[in-house]
Amino acid sequence: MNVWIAWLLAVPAFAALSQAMERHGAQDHGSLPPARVLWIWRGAGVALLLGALAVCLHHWGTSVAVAAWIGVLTFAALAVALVLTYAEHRLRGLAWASLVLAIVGMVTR
Amino acid sequence: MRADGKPEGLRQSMSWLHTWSGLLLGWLLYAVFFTGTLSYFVDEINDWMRPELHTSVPQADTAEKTMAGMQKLAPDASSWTISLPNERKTAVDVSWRPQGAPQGREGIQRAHLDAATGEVIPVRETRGGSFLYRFHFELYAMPRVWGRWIVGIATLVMFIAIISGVITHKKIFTDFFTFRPRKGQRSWLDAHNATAVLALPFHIVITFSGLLLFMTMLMPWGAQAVYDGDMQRYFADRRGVQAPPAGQQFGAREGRGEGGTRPAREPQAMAPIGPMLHIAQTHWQGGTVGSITVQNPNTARATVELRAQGADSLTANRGGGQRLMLDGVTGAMKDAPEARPPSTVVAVMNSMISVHLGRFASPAVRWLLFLSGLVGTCMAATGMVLWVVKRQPDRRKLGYTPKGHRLVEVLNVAAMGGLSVAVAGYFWLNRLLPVGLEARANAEINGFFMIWLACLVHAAVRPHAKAWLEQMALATVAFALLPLLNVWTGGAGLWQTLAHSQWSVAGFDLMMLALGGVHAAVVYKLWQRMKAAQPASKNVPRSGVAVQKAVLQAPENHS
Repeated sequence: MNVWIAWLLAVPAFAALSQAMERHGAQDHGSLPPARVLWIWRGAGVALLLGALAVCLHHWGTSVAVAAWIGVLTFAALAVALVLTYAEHRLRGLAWASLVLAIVGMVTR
Repeated sequence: MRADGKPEGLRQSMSWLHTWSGLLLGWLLYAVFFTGTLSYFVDEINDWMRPELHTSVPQADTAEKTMAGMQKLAPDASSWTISLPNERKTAVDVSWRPQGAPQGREGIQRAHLDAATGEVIPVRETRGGSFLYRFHFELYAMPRVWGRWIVGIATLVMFIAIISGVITHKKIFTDFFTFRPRKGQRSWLDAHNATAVLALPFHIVITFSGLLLFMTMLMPWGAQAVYDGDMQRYFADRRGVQAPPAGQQFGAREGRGEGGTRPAREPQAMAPIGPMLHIAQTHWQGGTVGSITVQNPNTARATVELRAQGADSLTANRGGGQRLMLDGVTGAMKDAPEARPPSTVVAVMNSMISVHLGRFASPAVRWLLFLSGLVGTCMAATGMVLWVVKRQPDRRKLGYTPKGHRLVEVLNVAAMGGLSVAVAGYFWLNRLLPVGLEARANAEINGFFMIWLACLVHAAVRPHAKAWLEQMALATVAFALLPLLNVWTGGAGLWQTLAHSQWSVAGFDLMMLALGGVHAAVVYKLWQRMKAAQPASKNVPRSGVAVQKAVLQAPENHS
């Protein structure tokens, strides 16, 4: 369960980080948003990654938590990469949905 | 060396190193990765390969029934070790040392008990998952130390390949989320990069910890110098226990009883186990007892040691989870054995090794590591396929297939497709060979290698693309049908195991369905390409070589 919550947080985290990248963040007219916006995306991404770490630390001892967190990061990044490959236009929707599910998961347990 | 005679840059030379170190030991490393990944579920595989155990369903009073069973089985033993069922094991594993048995492993007797009745369940002779586990670090049919040296050197090369690969990768961050499908060589490179980069922490930890596990074999000099060649003392120090006095063998600890005033073998009834488990659970705040060790059972000096199931820390020493000592006669708690907390160096080493060995409680983390292992297996696979794909333009220019290229192709199919077929075949043989067969465990293992060898021959005589397709298709069918074979040959089916929460057996069946699915996806891709390549191959003259060449080039032409 916790591993899923951590994963659901890490997916929007990587989605946000990808939106601050030249290759994935370009808008409809083909240019990146202003630097200030990019820093917001990066900040949100890092914060969510740390949130996922916090979920792991809450559930496990430090050493197991860090190992689990790193594993979760791998599969969240893999999921984001696959969405960017096959359904790029869905990324934002899926990322928000994932974030909502993570919050629901945290509140209900 | 560059063609224009200019000196090579760091990246080019690293690329060369990565390509050739990866290729030469790639086939072995692939096998190590694949069997090692399966070994995260070695207990589950062991259960599945002993279908006699599937009737054993854990109950609330399993510990009591087991103790009663031990009273019948070995009342006079000098010690009992009982490993209770858990989500990875559906029966009780017990071992005991009869009075006056020789020291060390050979003096130990083992049995499997039914978790509901405490009766012995006779099982078929098999090495089970332990064969795959052992194979992944010491191979087979050679002295163990040779196998370990070979795998140790391969691990070192793997580490070199990882480091040189990171240096070679030009856009590690720009391409972080990038996968470009249906672009031939580019797609293979992207897939290789993604599986390598996204699981890089896992690859580094698993390879480096693999080296740490071989540390005293590969580089014994430091420890030998510091400990004056007394490696026993070094190992004891690392495990945080007192070194046994010189001359005393490991396992000679039975005589050590705390209550020295009581005579050794005075018979005395044991306290019931139930209340002891209750004490442990309250003491550990809900942790469950995983194993019970009884010294001098049925005597006045009986002691009961309870160990918690799994550990919540990776830094603890091996077997360093929570434990509790109780008096076997009164059932009262005794002083816990002092456990020195590991030093920082040992803690760092333990955390690496614990990840490698999956030495922890959480099934979620085990699954993460298993899946990471699969990603690593895919990394090795994509890398080796990439070597072939990358050279196809050269080959077309030459107009023929150099022998070296063909060799790599054949070995690729045999090492990857063939290993899948052989592993699935090993599980099939486990159920199809007669239970009473002489040297049955060896027959299973020999069968594994014969199937693998047959796959090598098949890969050598069939055209490259067809060989891939046929072996992957065979592996798909063989993996996917294992849950059915399980029911058909006396195991418990998925509906039963899921209903009874026998996670070990259910988990194996589900894992095989998943492996079947992965192989099916590859078959589907290969079949699509093959179909797309059909018209092209009709246009060339039907000489064997030409057809083979057309099939070889097909993936690129149509990607």
